[in-house]
Amino acid sequence: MTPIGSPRTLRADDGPDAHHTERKARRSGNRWEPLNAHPRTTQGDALKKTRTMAIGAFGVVAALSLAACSSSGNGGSSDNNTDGASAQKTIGTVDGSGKTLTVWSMTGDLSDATLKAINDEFTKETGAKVKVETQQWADIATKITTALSTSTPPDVIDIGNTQVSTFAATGGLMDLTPYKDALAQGQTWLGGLVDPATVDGKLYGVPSFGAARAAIYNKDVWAKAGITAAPTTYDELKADLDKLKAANSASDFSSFYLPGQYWYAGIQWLWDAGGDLATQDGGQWKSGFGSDKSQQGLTEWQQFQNAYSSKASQTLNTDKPDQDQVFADGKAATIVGSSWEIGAITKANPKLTADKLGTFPMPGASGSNQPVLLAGSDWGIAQKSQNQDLAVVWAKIAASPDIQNNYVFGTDKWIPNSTEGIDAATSSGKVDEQGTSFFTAAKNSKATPASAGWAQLEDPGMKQFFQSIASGSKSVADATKDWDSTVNSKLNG
Amino acid sequence: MSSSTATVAGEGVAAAPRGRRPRAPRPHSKQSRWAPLWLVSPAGIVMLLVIVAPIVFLVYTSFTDYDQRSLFTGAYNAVGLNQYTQVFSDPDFYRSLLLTLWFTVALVLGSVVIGVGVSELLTRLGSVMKYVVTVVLIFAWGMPNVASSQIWNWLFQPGYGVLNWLLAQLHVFGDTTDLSWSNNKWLALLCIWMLVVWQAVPFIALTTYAAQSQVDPAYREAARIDGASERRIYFSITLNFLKPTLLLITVLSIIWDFNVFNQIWLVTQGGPDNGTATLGIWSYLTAFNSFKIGTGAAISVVTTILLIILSSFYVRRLLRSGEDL
Repeated sequence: MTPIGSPRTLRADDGPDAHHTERKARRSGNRWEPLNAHPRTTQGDALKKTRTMAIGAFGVVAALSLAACSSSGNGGSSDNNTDGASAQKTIGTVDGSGKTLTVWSMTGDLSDATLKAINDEFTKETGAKVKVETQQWADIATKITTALSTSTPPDVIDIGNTQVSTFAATGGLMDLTPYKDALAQGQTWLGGLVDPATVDGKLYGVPSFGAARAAIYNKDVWAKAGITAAPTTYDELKADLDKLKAANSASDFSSFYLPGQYWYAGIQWLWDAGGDLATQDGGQWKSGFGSDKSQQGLTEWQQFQNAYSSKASQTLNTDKPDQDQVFADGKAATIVGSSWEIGAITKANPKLTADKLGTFPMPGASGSNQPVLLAGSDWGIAQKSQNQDLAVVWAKIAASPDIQNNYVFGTDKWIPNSTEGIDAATSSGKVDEQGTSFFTAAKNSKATPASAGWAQLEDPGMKQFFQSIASGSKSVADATKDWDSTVNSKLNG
Repeated sequence: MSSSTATVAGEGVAAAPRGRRPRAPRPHSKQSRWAPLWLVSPAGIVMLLVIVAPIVFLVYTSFTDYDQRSLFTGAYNAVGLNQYTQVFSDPDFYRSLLLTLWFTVALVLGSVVIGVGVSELLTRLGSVMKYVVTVVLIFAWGMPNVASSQIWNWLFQPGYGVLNWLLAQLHVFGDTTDLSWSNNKWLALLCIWMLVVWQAVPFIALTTYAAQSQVDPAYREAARIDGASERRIYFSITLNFLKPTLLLITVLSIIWDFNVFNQIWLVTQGGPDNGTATLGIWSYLTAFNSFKIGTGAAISVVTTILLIILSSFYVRRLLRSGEDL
């Protein structure tokens, strides 16, 4: 028999007899007690002590964590001094021997060769070492926020141009305004890169590289449908796609693969119709999705998507399945993408060599090319970085004409960060036939609203908004009405 | 008997192994009373650091306007109960609360009913099949839910998903090849329900089976001799003996299913149109997507209190059932 004082729990193998005995024993007292309660002798005192101690320890921890909070709360009240905002500072030589600069680079952005060129020059100038940590895109806003809030953040961070404002306006990034001239090095930065990095007139990011989207098509598949020249107008494009559709009957074939969640491409239709994502008026943001022009563009996009892209793609993004893989497998005759995707396609299907791929800037229903979202990155410097001096030097080298022309454009085929860079690239004759379309597209580019609230709308908000229109689960009018209220509250919140 | 064991127990853990005969408390008994504390202190300190301290901070944060700016600069203000009034006046709160409650009920019911069914199946299988089923169950159980969610995404992918293809071959639902499960609230919930239940069944089935195999066959035989139907025997005898186990499983399932996050986030990200945004998803979106960390903390506190209320009801019943059996 189990002694009464020992911990005792019910087990399935006790059988009815055991339960009976247990119950009798328990009921001998006047009140039922928890199964493992001990007779209240000395044990009760010990328990009480333990509890007191536990509460005491809890209190200490609580007090400590609260103290930590309030002290940091005080620290934050001292505002970043803005007195030197207008006076431009120069970037002198910094002795960084024995120090290591941490750089966060995004996967797929600058190549290792380019980063190495920047790092070598940096080490030569300062003597400091560089540690490059490559990051994945998934949940990147959360990752960067977490990193920037630590006391030892990465010093330099590669941030998507549309996301700079969210970290800048909240104090995560260093104000680079005093160094603007020194960093620009006489170049005129592309508006699509520098505007979203400028919040309330202050600069928080150094343009790293640009990219624009253009249509990429499979020349063989197009030729089989009897089309030999790339379209230059929207009607021509649609006529060509109709021919392609007629020539290929497979249900999973897309004459133009355009996933529904792919809002980077979708907004080109909205902009082409004259719509805006959001406009700022007297400090207040106003969502532009519901305007007549925007709705017209979105309707046109939905019709185009439904007509030429596979039904499955209506609710998908470009990643699952990878649109470059779909294209490489011959399931899509055309996609819209950045220049690096040509490399991804030829890698996915080595038989589909680069000379079999053609490109053209997306023509718009308006008559001119569709405005594109200038993609790209800026280098941000962490406000809490211990090596801000070194970080500024690194960013200066990364933005220098030498690196931009010879590596960012020369090696990686990205669009350089300045108009001078674009001119130098196009006049150098090194832009091949495929690359020209991306450079042409970049000339008519726009950026997302420079509001701290914008980045949080991108994922999953924008994806789901465009998906609901593409799939027809909501009408354009209903979808834009709902989305407008979300955008208004987030941008102004 | 009771006096000697009581004293031994009263001396605490340190004295227990030497409990040969009743003894008066030692003069230096203080030392022995501290011993258990010293013994638990490594685990205790870790728990204080990783569980208690963050919870204290969470509760504290829920009374402030902590946001992204506070993360970077450390500046924030105490706002009293503002975050809570904001949460309780948000229609999203009631929508996601309702969704969480009924989805939890659906998940718990589904996994317990199927789990107990599989357990009954195990008792009737031959030894080879029993091993096969057990191994299969353990595989499903052992898979990390992030990986299984990814596989679910592939199975249900519009266009190339195997499940869509299989459904199309049935010729019952029409052409389902391009069906997008995540674009429809109910299909998305069904998809997530299947994923969660699939991974919850093994634990329930194996635990229930362990309990079921301990039921004395004499009771069933006696009932059979008395002419009771198999159905009656199962419901009156087997399930009756399983009651404590089932109650425990139900409580655990409620806690787990109420907090399901990974599977929902990875399959739908709370979409379409917040259709699958449970309290967990909503608080994540608020705290880590909009970076309204104070509001997110308030939602978490409310969620935790709800969960304590829900499970305390069952824990009380669980304890009482120990008395009544």
